[in-house]
Amino acid sequence: MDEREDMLRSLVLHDDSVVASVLAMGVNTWDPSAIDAKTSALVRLGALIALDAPVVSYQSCIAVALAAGASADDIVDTLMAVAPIAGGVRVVAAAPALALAIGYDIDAALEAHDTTTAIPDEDR
Amino acid sequence: MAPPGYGKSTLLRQWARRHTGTSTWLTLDVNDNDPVLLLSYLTAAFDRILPVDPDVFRQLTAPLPSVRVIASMLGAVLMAQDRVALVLDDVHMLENPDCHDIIGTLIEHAPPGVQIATAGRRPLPLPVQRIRAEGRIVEVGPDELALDQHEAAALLHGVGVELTESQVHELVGVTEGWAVPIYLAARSLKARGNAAVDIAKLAEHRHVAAYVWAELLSAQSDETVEFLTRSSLLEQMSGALCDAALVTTGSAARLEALAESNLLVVPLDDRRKLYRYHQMFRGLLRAELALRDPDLLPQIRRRAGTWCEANGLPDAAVGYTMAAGDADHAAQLVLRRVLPMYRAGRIVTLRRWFDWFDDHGHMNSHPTVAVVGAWLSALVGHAATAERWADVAERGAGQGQLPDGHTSIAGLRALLRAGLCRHGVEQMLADAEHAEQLITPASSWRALTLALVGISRMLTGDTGRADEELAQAIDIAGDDGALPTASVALGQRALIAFDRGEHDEARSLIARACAMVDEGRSQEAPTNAFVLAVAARITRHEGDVAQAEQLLAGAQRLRPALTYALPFLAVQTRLELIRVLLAAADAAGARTMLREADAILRRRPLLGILGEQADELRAQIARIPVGAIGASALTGAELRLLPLLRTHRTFREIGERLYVSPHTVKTQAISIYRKLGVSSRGGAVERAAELGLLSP
Repeated sequence: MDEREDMLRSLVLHDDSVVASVLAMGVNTWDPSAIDAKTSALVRLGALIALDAPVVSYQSCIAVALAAGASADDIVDTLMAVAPIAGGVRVVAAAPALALAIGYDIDAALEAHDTTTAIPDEDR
Repeated sequence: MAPPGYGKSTLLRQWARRHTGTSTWLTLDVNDNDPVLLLSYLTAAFDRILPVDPDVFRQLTAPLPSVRVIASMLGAVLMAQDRVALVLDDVHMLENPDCHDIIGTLIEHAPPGVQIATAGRRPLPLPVQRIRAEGRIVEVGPDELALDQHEAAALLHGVGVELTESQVHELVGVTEGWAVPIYLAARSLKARGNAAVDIAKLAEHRHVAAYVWAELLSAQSDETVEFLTRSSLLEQMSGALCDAALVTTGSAARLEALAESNLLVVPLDDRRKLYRYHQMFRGLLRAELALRDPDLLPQIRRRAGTWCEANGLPDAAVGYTMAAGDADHAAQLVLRRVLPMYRAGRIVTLRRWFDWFDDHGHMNSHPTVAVVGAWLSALVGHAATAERWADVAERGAGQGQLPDGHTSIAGLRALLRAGLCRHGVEQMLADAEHAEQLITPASSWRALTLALVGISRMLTGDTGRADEELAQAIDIAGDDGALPTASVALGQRALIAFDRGEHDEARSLIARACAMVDEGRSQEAPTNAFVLAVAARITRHEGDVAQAEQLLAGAQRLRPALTYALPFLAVQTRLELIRVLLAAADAAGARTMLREADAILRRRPLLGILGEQADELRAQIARIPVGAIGASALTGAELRLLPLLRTHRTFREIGERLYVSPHTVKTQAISIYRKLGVSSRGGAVERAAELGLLSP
């Protein structure tokens, strides 16, 4: 916690070098972190939804979350978790992109007679 | 490109005749949508005029030939040539995008001395922009083909009819320059001599085609009309076929005369032994026959089918028998052809035949067809269709044997149950053993039966006995040329040996399996994904990272087609891939495989030792930090999209092909670019090819 207390103080003061190093953290780099890679990715996803980020940004973030061991359920639950805070409009806007990123083709599901097949039919 | 009757074929013929060099001709029909068949015809067409490398023929007859390889080889044949013309008529009949790709490949490879002429009702979706920009293409459309004032006048003059300028103008206006009715009008004018009345009559007809039709028929004798209407049921007509189907004589001479004298009959190639009816009139002739003598239709078709069967044209025989609605006989023919056609890679045609039974409600009455159809579907990864037809097969009675006389249908049903493994491995073993009792050594399905017995036994944990049974299966499969079965069984044995620590044995077994995969050139068989995955794991263990990467890429490329239709193989493949990826500390890739494995296990729980293995691997993956998300993380859907990115089709066209929205295609493409570390479609294709994710 000491290390984190130092960082928080520096941020409050807007210490340029600390801000820069925080921003420079890549999507895939974590310091030995109290929260694991998967949680970190899901948190970022929540933030992206709340920020009304472009579709490609969700997709990139979801790919990282999946790679870190998140399940499709985790992804959808994240959407649910931020909904009360981000607002209905943002959640609705994010839903299609989110669905596609976890492999659920909503367009096709809406068109098909039977929406129960979550896995895309390979019988093409 | 122009609608029927504009003189496209005539133009091509005249052009080919004037071509100073050699030319060869191919008229396409709907059956040519089978890529392997199209390649066979193209090769034969080339062979008539050029030296064709015997290797091409070998490739064509090898089990499960690689379409892309053969198309490139044909292209190479062209490369060495000068002053050669290839004429393709009725290209609009090609709807299969794989066939478009074949034509596209030929065009790409064609050096300056080679000319390719195509004619049809619609343009092919080919990459013409580039060659258009290079000025290498000449496009002729209805405007160019239509007769103008002068040309119409010349035509009329040629027939011996003189009209005033305004009359010619009116005639051209009414017909829109369409050559056929102008010619007919000319002939009729010559016969009757009253210009003004006739042109008015032409103008009155709501459809110029009907006018043409009436004119043509009126000029023929009753006997000829009878011949025309009855033979119109035939696809490719030869004298002998007509004689047999119509129960008459002298058809060859009649056809030749008709081709010379009128517009109805068109020769199919430059040797004038095969003919067909002009597209415009085929439908009209058939309708005429249906009016006059409806009972004759199935009779003629049936006779045509019999003749084709007796004269070495099994595919055509199936076509006619189906057109005659003779499901029983069609079933016999199809079942006899299944194994040879599967091994020859004629999957498209086979699928079309089985769909016929499905679409016409004959599956229920022919449970044997359903069983075999379900197997075929399972082998190519069409899981939902396999399940559906398997259900039909279960409901049917179906006793007796396949046409080969050696394969019990009840045995096949049991085998199918085992293969689909819908109720767990214990049941799979029971079904496989049941099948073993019913399918005798004389049957071509025996090897597969023993293989499934061995695999299911292994999955229940009895590896010792499984190994023996698999060895047996391999011996028989080897004798029978059933390479996919043999290679999978070898792969299974290799896994068993490896797990026992017998690494040398494992290496030798998997090497044999890989040799079979290469030898048969059956690069496209989904079951190869399993063999390659095992090979990748073993090779990686030996330390040959580069080779392992290559094998891994090969397995990844085929992975999407290995679906829950064959659940045990699909899961095993993904588990082996996980092991390879773990060795490379590739968490993203490993998790992608695990997700797919889990999805399959959700549909098919009770897969014996596989469930535990998946959980073990899950725990191992959890210990690896997440690294880069690269090509190994490409999902099944993305891998299916990748080869289509190589074509020149737009996202919209790709969407139509895959039955998804263009938006979905775009999203998946972006995901692909990101994972491959590129920012363009071309870049993605290049990178994927480098990595071995696209077939050569």
